[in-house]
Amino acid sequence: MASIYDVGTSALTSMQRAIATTGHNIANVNTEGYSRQEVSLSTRNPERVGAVEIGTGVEVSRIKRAHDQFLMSDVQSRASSNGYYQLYASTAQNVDGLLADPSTGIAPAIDKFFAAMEAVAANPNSSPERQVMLSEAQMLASRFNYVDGRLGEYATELNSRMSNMTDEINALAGDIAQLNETITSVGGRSGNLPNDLLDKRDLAIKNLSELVRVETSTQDDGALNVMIGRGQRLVIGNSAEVLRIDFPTSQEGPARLFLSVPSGAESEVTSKLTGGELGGCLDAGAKLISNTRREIGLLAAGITETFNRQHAQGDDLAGQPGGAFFAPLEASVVGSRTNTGLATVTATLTDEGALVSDGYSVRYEDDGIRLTNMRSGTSELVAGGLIDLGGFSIDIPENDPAFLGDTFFIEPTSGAAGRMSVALTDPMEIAAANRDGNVGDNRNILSLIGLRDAETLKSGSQSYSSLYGATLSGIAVETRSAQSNAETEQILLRSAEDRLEGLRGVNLDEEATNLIRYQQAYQAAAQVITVANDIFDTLLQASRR
Amino acid sequence: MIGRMSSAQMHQGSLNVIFDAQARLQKTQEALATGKRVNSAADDPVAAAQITAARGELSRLEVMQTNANRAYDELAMTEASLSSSEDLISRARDIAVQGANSVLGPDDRAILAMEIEAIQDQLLKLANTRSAMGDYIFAGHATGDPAFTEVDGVIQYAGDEGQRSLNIASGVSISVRFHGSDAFGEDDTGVFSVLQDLAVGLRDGNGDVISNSITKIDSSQQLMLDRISELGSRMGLVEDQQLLNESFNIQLENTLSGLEDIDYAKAISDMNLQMVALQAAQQTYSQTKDLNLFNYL
Repeated sequence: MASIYDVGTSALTSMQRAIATTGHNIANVNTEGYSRQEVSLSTRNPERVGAVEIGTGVEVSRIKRAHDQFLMSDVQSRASSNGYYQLYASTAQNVDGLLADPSTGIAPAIDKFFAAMEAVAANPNSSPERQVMLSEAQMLASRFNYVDGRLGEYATELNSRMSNMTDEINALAGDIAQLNETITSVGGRSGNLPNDLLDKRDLAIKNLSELVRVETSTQDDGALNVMIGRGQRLVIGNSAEVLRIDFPTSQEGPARLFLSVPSGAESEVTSKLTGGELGGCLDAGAKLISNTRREIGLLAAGITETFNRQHAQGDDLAGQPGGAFFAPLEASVVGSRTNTGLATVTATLTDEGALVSDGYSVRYEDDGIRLTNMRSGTSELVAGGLIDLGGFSIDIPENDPAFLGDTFFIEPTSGAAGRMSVALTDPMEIAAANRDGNVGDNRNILSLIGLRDAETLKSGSQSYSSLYGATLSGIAVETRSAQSNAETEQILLRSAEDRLEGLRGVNLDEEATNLIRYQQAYQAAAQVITVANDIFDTLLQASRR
Repeated sequence: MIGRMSSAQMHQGSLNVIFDAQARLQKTQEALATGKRVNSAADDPVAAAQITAARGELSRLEVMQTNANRAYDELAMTEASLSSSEDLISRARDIAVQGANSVLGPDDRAILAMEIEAIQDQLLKLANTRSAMGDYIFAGHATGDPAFTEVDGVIQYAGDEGQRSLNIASGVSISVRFHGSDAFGEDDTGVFSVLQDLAVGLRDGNGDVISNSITKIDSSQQLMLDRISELGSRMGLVEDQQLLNESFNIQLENTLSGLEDIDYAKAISDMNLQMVALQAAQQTYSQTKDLNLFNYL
């Protein structure tokens, strides 16, 4: 008798759990990262009565989470690639739009400047033409300033985004470590891992994957270890490392990232953090923005120098030799704000025509002074002193223990476009004539006009317009391929998410049928109790007679 | 697990289809609104590079055409001055021939001498022709001062040897003027000194001087005629270049249009198709969104 009640009750409780689980699924139909849960029902251990085994009902053996680690990992790695390319492509689009826009681009300003010079050539002693030429020169310089300024803003924006991402990565690492701790302690007690916490951890890892490339490995106790970029440990068990970002000056210049290690020290991981939006920021900053600023700067420095040199060959309207037309430009050296020594690296432009738009860093290290080409990434140890780097030279103080860790960034051309300006103020001082030429002499202006197509830059391989054209088409090709990669990655991510979601997402129709199924089973089990009750009543009445 | 879809996925799937259809339609709309196929360099990097080059070339061509027009005007002005000068020289030669006639008395020769002096004055004015901008066009580069000045009764060239040239096409430049010595001869042998000598010869009745003058006038006239025909050929050259620039301009415009303009027929039919696709996606969503077993429980 008791066993009938027992069987019925076991079914009632089991179906209640099943209905509760279905309800949990329905409740979380729109919860991000939720995996639907399913009760596993199994028979209870049978009871031996005489020679036969009699069933004792049903029990919930476990609650399963719909999950596939392979699909999950696929989504995570796609999220990283997608994050990387979306960010890279959107930066490329910005740079591309800036350079190619006819109203902000540099090419139309060069055209107008040279058109104004043709007018001076036609009337070399006429003031209005000279004034127009000076205005167009100022327009050209301010166009350079604008483009460089915008590129600088993009760089600063990327840096501030990277700061935010670093904070986010640290927060997610903390969450994952915390979740590891809870999961292992709960799992350790019951042997069953808590499904909802696993979902939360998976979601945290997916969010982390969007920011940086992630690899995970599961420990026996259920904790998940997380490496970022190229195998850099971020979370081991329940402890998280801390990522730190640093800039040479506040929010300016190339970003450097440091990761703490369990010993308490930290190591630089900038080049090892690949993938995700953070990797996208690093690459977009280094490849797109820095290089474009260097190219545009090279053009500005090249025009300034070659134009000034030809201008000095001529005479102005007063018969005086031509002065500096554009204000001469200098190389830029920025010392990191964390520098402690008193060393000062200096750089001098020696031949603008030989510059190749590279940027360098100098770092005092234990084993010497490391000179790194920031464009190609190649580096070498050098002794101090004067080093010629093609078109410019740098002077590095000898190594000294006091300078250890000090870093300098040397940019012969980057930023030059932002500093370009017209030095000449009096239109009469435009040296249109050849040396000792008379007022109607236009020969030096004609020579200046000739500079437009003369291959004076990059060691005689590029002219003003061809260098700009090459920069522009380089960015256009880069943007095009980044856009197409971004589109592909988005499709791949979507399809990976689709497959995972198809497996684990809640389908309301399915839950509705489950609900009915479990409800009917519950009603039937209740009927079993009623029948047992009736039997018991019958027995009681029979015994009363 | 093929076939299984979550409810959120069905919702998101319909939304994605709508987003994609909107994005494609937006791209076509932008192309139609601007009339341009290439709206950013990344749309077609190769075409973008050619477009930038073609635009630069077009703007330069415009300047070159302006210069060519200027050059033609300058040459025409020079030619007009020299033609008038040549007329005067020819008239002077007639007078010299008349003066060589021994029948003439001193009074008649004095009248002829005065006529020669008047011609000389007129010629000086022509040699000091100024451009619209006020340049003395025969003064070489020293355009600020008269090309010829009278010093102690002798007319001398005051300019330099400069030749004003202008770019009329990429890599093509042309001299638009002659300096004074080129057209009017050197100080001691040029047309001014010949006329001076002739006037003196007429007054003095010196037959040798007069007949010598005729030979010298002939060579001055020849120099002038040479210059005029040179101007003619330069003007022809400029005209040819103007035509070349014009046809190059048309060619560049065509290239540019081919590179960046959209094919309206295709773009409009694309847009119609994309609108149908978007409409279908929206309708599908609105019709399927309520399909749910719970409605029947």
